[in-house]
Amino acid sequence: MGNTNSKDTLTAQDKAIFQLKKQRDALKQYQKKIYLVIDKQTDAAKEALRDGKPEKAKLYLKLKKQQQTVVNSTYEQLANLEQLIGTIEFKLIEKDVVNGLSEGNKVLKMLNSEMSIEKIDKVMEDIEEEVVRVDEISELLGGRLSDLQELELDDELQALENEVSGKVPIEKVPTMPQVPNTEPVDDKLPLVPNTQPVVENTPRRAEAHEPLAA
Amino acid sequence: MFAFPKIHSFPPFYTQQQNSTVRENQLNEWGQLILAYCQHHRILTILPSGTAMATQEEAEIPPLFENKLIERSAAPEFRRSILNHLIHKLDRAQYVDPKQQDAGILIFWRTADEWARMLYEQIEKTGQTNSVLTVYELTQLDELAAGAEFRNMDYNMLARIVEVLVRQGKAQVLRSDDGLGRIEGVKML
Repeated sequence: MGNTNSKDTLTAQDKAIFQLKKQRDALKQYQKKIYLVIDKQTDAAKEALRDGKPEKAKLYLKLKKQQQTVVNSTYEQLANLEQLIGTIEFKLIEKDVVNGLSEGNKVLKMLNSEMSIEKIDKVMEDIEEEVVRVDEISELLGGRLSDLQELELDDELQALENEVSGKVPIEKVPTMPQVPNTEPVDDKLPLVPNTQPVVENTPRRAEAHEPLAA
Repeated sequence: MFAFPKIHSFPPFYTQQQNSTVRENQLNEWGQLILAYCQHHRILTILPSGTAMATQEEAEIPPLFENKLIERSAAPEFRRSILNHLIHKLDRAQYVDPKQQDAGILIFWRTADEWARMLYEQIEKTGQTNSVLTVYELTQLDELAAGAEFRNMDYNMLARIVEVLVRQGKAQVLRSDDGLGRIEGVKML
């Protein structure tokens, strides 16, 4: 009844957990049985006391004590089993989490490789080239303004803005150079030379020109 | 205490009627009575004699096929035809093993599909899908995996319920390797 196809996805871990759980169940069942025995021995001890046989009652109590130590050790084993089951189940979940993380990491790596710096550089370069081309085209079409025109345009816009907002463009007054507040010193002027300038060079220059003139 | 319907105190109810229409009604009445009686006492399996076999609660159970107050009791053959009616006509009971009728008759006062849905919902709600659960864990452990409705559930009934889930692809089973192939572990998906 669907048993054949169901075996496929039951993993070795599932089977290991199943075995551990079966042992746990067996221990639990054993405990139940021991408790029944303990109850019976208590009853038997009481009965023996009532019958006036303290020795027999003591024997039953001794047996009961032994059973109780057995039960206590089963509790320890049970705790170990439960802990092991819990650890395995948690590890399985951890494994899933790690798998999930590594899958996520793969995707992230793939996305990052698609966004490599070289690629982005190339895209940015392409964009720049295209912008240059657009500029060239608009220049060719004559629709492009010169730098001077652009400046004039900015000035006009500023003036318009001031007009609209009613502001006087104080910062637009050009700053004048300061008037010097000291008298110019006259005697610092160079003296007129009182010797005739030497005219040695002129005839040589004239000689040089002679063949051309001739 | 289960309140038997009035018809349980009606003497002709205990004798198989000759008229086929009347008999059909009589068998239907018995069928409904058995379902209500088993549901009340949480009986999952009865013997062909009508005695409760597997119950989820321990309590004094009044006999099904007899009424001491009116000193009536259904004859063994009549009991058998009532149960056959419940199995084949009303489809609310199954032999545990058709070849061995004394192994008991499962009474589905809740259908296997309804039980299966309850079990699966309980496991899913408590986050226990994808872990292997033992049958003992489902029905016997102090801290029940499947909820109180399944406490002390008879193995044969649980197996029927789990098989429904297996057919629906919602469960996988681990069987014993002793040749009997009893379901010992279940993993809900």
